[in-house]
Amino acid sequence: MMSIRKKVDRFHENGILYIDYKDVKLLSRFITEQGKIIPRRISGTCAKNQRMLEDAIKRARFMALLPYVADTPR
Amino acid sequence: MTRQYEMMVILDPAQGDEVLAKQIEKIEEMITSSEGGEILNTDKWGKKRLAYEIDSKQFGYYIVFEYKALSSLQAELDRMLRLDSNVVRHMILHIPERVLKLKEREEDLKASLELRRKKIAEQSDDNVVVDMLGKEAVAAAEGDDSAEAEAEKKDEAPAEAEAKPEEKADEKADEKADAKEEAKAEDKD
Repeated sequence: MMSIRKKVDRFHENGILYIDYKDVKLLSRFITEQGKIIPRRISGTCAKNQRMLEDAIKRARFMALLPYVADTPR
Repeated sequence: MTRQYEMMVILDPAQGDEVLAKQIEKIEEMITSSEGGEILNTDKWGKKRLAYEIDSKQFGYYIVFEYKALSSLQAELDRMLRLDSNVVRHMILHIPERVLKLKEREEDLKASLELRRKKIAEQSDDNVVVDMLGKEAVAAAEGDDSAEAEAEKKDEAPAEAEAKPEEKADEKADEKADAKEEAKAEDKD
């Protein structure tokens, strides 16, 4: 077994209480190259924060800060 | 009752800077001239690339307004922005008290986390210093005692570090399937 690591909510770790849709740098770490939202089971985000994260990402998408779909790997 | 709002507006950057400035002023005036209207902050992000094309536009001029106003003003603002063809996109959000408090607490939390991290960093720095001192002492005096002491220190430190991952490994032994997924996730990251 290579890396066995406990799942950690990265928002807890970094003391983030409110996930702002304007923080594109933060949000982009929770989407795949195609622009999909990374599921909780993989990212380890807690349920409460995942809900807040979803809202933030969807808002950012509407304001063209994040893509809805991005097929070309950058 | 006035409430706090946050409004992000994307303007068409193809128009000149003057027109943009006028437009921003117009929006600001609409807020300040209303009853109880007060602008807390205007953040001009400037010209940014849009994540996807909107009306075959590649760039947008982003502005974020933070303001206090009556809720009845929001519908008016919304209509005005919707009818304005130079507004590419706009979004008005009500910022509840709860969120404002969260943001305040977040700053404190981040500051304390930062402190804790610094302390940990300092402690590890101290260890390094001790090690280096030990080596220097060895080099200077070539005393067997100090060399032994240093060796002991080094032995202790890795032993502690190793003990913890092993404990965790035991806990996680029955979560092998999960662990595979985690590994995948880490690859993606």
